[in-house]
Amino acid sequence: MTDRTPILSVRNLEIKFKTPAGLVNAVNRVDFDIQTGEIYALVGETGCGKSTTAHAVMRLINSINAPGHQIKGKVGYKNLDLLSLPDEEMCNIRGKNISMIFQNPLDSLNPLYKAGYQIYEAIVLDRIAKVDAWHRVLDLFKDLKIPDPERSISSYPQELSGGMRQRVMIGMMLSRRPKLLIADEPTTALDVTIQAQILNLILALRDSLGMAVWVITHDFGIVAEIADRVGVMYAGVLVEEGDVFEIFDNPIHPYTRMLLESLPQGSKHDKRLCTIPGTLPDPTLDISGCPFQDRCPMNYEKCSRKTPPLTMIRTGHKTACHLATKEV
Amino acid sequence: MSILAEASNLKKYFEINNGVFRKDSTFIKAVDDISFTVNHRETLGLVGESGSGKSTVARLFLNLIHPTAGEMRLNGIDIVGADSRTMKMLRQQIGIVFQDPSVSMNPRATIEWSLRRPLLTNGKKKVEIDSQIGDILQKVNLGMEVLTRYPHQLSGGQQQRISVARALLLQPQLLVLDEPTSALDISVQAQVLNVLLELQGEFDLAYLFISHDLNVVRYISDRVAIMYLGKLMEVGPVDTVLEHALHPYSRALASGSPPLSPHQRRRNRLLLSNEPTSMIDLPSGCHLHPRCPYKKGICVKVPPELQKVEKGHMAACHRIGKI
Amino acid sequence: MKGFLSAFGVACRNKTFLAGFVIMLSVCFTAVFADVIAPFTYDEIDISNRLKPPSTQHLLGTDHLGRDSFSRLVYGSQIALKVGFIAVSIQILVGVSLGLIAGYFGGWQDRAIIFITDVFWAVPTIILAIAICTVLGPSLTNVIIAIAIVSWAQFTRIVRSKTQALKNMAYVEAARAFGENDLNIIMRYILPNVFPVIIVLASLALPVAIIDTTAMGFLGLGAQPPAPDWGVILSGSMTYIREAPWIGIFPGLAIIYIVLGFNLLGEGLRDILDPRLKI
Repeated sequence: MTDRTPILSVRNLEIKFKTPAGLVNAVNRVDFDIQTGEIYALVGETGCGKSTTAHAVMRLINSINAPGHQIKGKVGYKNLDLLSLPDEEMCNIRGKNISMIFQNPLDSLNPLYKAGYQIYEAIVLDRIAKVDAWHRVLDLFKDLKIPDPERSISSYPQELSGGMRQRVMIGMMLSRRPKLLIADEPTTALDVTIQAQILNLILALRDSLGMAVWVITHDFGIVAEIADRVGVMYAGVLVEEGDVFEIFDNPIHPYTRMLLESLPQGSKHDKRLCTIPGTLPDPTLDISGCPFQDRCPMNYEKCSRKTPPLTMIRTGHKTACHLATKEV
Repeated sequence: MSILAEASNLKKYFEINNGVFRKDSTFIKAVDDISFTVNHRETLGLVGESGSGKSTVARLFLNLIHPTAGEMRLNGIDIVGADSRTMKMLRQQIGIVFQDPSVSMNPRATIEWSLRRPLLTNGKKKVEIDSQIGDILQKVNLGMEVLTRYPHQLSGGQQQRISVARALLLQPQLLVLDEPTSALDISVQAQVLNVLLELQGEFDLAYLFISHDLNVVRYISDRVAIMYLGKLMEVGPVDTVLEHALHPYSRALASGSPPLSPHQRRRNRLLLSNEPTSMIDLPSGCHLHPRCPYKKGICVKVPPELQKVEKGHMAACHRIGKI
Repeated sequence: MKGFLSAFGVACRNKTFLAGFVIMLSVCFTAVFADVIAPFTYDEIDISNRLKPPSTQHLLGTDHLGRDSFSRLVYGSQIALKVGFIAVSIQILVGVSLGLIAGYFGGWQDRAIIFITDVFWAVPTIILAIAICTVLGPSLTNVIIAIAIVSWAQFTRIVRSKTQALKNMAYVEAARAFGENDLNIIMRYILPNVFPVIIVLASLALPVAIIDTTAMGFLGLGAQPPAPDWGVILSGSMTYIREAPWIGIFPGLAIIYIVLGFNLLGEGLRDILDPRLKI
């Protein structure tokens, strides 16, 4: 299904933000690959840095929206390093090679332009003739199963429902056939029945376009539904990564295990949900050792001294934990 | 089990005024002839997507809005027609917890102030107030130090637990929870759910638990009622309704919900076509018919009534048993 | 108290606020200690010294009646601030109350109040103020009344829209659910949360009130001579603009100074209190 060439290769990504409270470590030395054609889910709770990672890869963090920020590391796409690309070249990458869809489509679509026009705008960037471009827009609307395509094309975003808007945004982002689609909480604002349709759509488009999808979510249900591989983030660190079945069936990192145990499954008569004591560590402090140490039921002496590196435990299954690598 | 609260033929229509002189009005039938009961010490899950009317039901029960028609009773006492003295007593019997914990408390007041208000408003003595507040904080696993803080200084989980604490101060019998964990992280949600379960046992509470998340509803509820565009589709014991749903909408919800494990990916799924219709232009007959794969002629013409299928299990569909 | 001081400390990090606060403080200081600061009284006539340019004895020169310009300027600040604060206070009292009622209760109260508000909002302030002062007669008190009348509508509009937004907030619904009555909800839940908006608007309404006062004084409809109202001084200075420009320049600069100060204060407050205030 997937060949071994990664479409995206993130190495040693470090992101810090300047806030009134001090320098915040949002992302702390994250390494991962996304393979061509696979669906990679980056999952974690609020403040883990998953969304920030994606924004940094797309170079959406700049000195206007985040003055004083620092980004280090390398993001490999084809044989380019996206982090060191000049702005105009990065503009060519966005939309054409890597696209991103966001949580709230109403915020992402311009309310002053009709839906069809916004997709047309993207298509003509590739110097397609106007007539052909409009045909493509209509075809796209049909592929996306947007009801009443002719009327929807001339509707304004506010006139469309949430699910339709999300489809329009997907259409806009896929109109130039990128190799990688980044989906940041794509269904959070949608109803369950619509969510199911959108996830199906993403799967179908992945199959027909052969593109990779990087999903960012806090919802394990979405991960279970469509992911091929999963990365779990906590406090800016990638703590576990592996095949989706592996992660669900045999989680290794204590955080992953406790998190999966806290998902409501079955009924209250069976068990109480597992909770994770404590709170996130202060992101303005540089912690020595494992970021999860204060909340971990294991917490050995080595955990506060040395940061556990992301290590391969089984084939394709990595984790950052001293206990797992039997080094305590 | 004895009945604590019940709604009978509850209706809430909102008028939309078209035209300058208010002659042409259309109605949004947010809640359209709903009947259900909540028994003592049980959790009734109320499930629906946006536009289903479930939040309106919550507000009706708390008397925050008045029904267009229908009755609501608590322990047999009529809520709708209650005089102010009865209303005062009834208000203490029902508590509410909202979805967004960050706006559930007055942002310009300390937590202590927010917790004192319900007690002061209902005439409790100052002496009792301090000890009651201390007690309730302990029950939700919070320390006294939160009293001097402002809401924005607390985490989402703490804010929501304070919300629960406030709702319990007047010692209600019924707690209405409107999407109480939807805005919370997974691990925080687990904390709040655990607290709710403990409190239910300790205080003999009944919960009307409103949510769109089927996994949470399945976990915490005893029975479940499923709403769509203002009407009840199916009511029954939670496992029965979610595992062996009779109504196509219930099936679509249950099978369309993201699974708990990747092994459940290839499960049989019922996907509804199209989008939910607007609330102004409701379809005739059964509201689901434009999207239902099992639709027949009668579904377009005649609205289905809730029929009893087996003990405690009812569904509103013309094609029960044939699909 | 401690909370207030630490909040103030945070506020001072905003340079706009700090600048505005310093200016405002200097003006208030001048007004309060006018008797100490001013070397002369404001109506000390000394014809032999008329129209003298700035000197060591008369820091800002003298006017056509030999009165010390500096002292008149200093005492003038009292008038400016007095009218400004009293007029805006009345605006707040009337405007905020009406805004709360209209926003919270809706219905006919809202329709009635909005109607009145729109009428007052539509009329150009200066013209209405002139009309009122002409009818009531020229005096400082009438200027205060006039300014209060023409500009209360701004508070009503803002407070009404904010109230409408707040009354649907979860914490207000929770309060209704456990039995708070309407008055308590308005006073304890809604008003404290509208307060930041009111403060910002007040700091921006103040310089407008001062300019309006000056305008009325200039037109002879406000304080009457010999009162050292800056507008009156400006008006009197017109005749002597060639021989003694200093008589008019300094009150002009003073007006700019005070208006700038309060505008900076208001803008700074707006940034601090809530950047998303959208007013």
